[in-house]
Amino acid sequence: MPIVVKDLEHTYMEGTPFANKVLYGVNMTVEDGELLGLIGPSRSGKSTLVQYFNGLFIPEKGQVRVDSLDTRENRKNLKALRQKVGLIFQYPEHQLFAETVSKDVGFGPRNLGLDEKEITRRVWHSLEAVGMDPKIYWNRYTFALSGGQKRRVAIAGVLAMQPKVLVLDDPTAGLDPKGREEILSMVKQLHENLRVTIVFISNNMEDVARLAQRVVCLAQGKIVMSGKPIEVFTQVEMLKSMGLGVLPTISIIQKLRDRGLNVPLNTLTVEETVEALIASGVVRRRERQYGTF
Amino acid sequence: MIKLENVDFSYQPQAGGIVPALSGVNLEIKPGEFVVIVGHNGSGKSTLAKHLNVLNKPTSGEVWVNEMNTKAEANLWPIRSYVGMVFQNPDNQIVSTVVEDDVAFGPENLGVDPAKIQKYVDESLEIMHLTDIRDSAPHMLSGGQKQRVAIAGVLAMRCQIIVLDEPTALLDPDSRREVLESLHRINREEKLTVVLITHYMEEAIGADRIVVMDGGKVVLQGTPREVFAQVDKIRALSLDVPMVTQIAADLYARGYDVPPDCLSEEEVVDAICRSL
Repeated sequence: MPIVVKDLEHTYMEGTPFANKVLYGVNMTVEDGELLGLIGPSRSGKSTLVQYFNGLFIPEKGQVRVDSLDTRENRKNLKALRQKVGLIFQYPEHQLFAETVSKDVGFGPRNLGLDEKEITRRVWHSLEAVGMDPKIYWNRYTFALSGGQKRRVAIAGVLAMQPKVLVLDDPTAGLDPKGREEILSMVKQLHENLRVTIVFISNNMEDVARLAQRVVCLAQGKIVMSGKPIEVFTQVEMLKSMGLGVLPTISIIQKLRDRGLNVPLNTLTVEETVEALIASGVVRRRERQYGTF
Repeated sequence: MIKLENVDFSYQPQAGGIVPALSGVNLEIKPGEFVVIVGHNGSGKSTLAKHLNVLNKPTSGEVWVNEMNTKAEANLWPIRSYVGMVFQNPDNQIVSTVVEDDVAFGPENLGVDPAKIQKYVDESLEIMHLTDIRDSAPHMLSGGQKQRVAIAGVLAMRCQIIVLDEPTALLDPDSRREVLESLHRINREEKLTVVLITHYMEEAIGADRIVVMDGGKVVLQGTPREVFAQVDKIRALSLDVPMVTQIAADLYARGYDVPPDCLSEEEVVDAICRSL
């Protein structure tokens, strides 16, 4: 169920003195089953763009096709579209409102008019999918959960609608390293186990490097880069000029190469980079000792 | 300067008894220091921060701010005009519709002479590089700009100490850098004492001292180099070590000639080149 975006433009408050154009002709495709990372400096239009994916915005200029249906021609059938594409906003935990975990996750399916048995089944599986044991958390008060747990419950609420595409807007923002780790491995699990297509926006390049199969970079309302993580993250000058920051792993190898050392520039994670440094023979085994380490 | 002596603190939710949030915390923060406090969620770092300007008072133990005890009611306002606080979400702490009015809000409430307020606001805007947007509406600004407005508000109150509770958690990398740079600038040039709470270990690299919290206690403190050299301990506390330090530490652990406590990319690169 690919999403195809063509020549998409967006202007906030069009026709007023505050008109603010944020998308300038975006062309992109989200392929079936992929795990796509969407990056870009702030105000580049990332959050605006993804709201077109489930029909929260309908194109005035340009075209968005979801599952080969033009969202503009299907204005009356947006409910079906919103079930197919689940959008999880930034800080989704702010949207929790029900008293208990199971009531909150069951809100969507209940609104679909499903029978209680099916609702229970969906809530159960969704909680399992986000790593919140339903046996433990079913009747827990939502407000008594930690930030990372609340966020996972909110994501379960969207999963309970059984979307084919899951769009997450900066899912790790504001979490501590542990909470971040939990969300990242959850996203990976969802992709592997449920085989959903996932698009996630992130400001954390380390997260994108670890998770994404493909990276799309938006800047000033246009797609400026798209490719495998290694292809995008090695565009050092480009990333710097957009203020996105360069991964230290890439940067260290780049600096070694600038000094004439022969190290391949094709690793992203710490583990891969350490291996590459050792394999290319630029680090020597030590003889002298450093202090008490 | 700030001194915490054997501070215990408990929140008392209606149901479920007493939850100790701090136990036996001893900490001293010297004038002009740049201290970063790290720790996972629930480790007590925000609770600690709130003790520094009397948003919390210790259940037992003492907190001294500029030799004033936070327990004495009469010290409340002197302490709050000495220690300014900036929180995570800029939208929750901006009150005005114009940037310079927002910066003036603090000193106005302290009853500062209007002529002086103008001067303080002008200077604060200048220091935070906000003069160009002094007439803008805060809600039209980026997250990083909004946080700088909040910091300017603290400067305009002529506080000596600024405490920031995860001020960059909601910001994009560029805005984070912008805020962090301005904190180092006011520490260096305006001699403000900075206490920064953060989840981002990269932000702790430039600090004078890192204080690591866990379970309501201070479990580790020292210079960034001393703290990050203890990679295993930091990881056991569910915290990250900066990527650069991880690379160096992993190479060292595998027997290679790279110091394990590198903090910058240049150090790693230099160490590798030197070993050849």
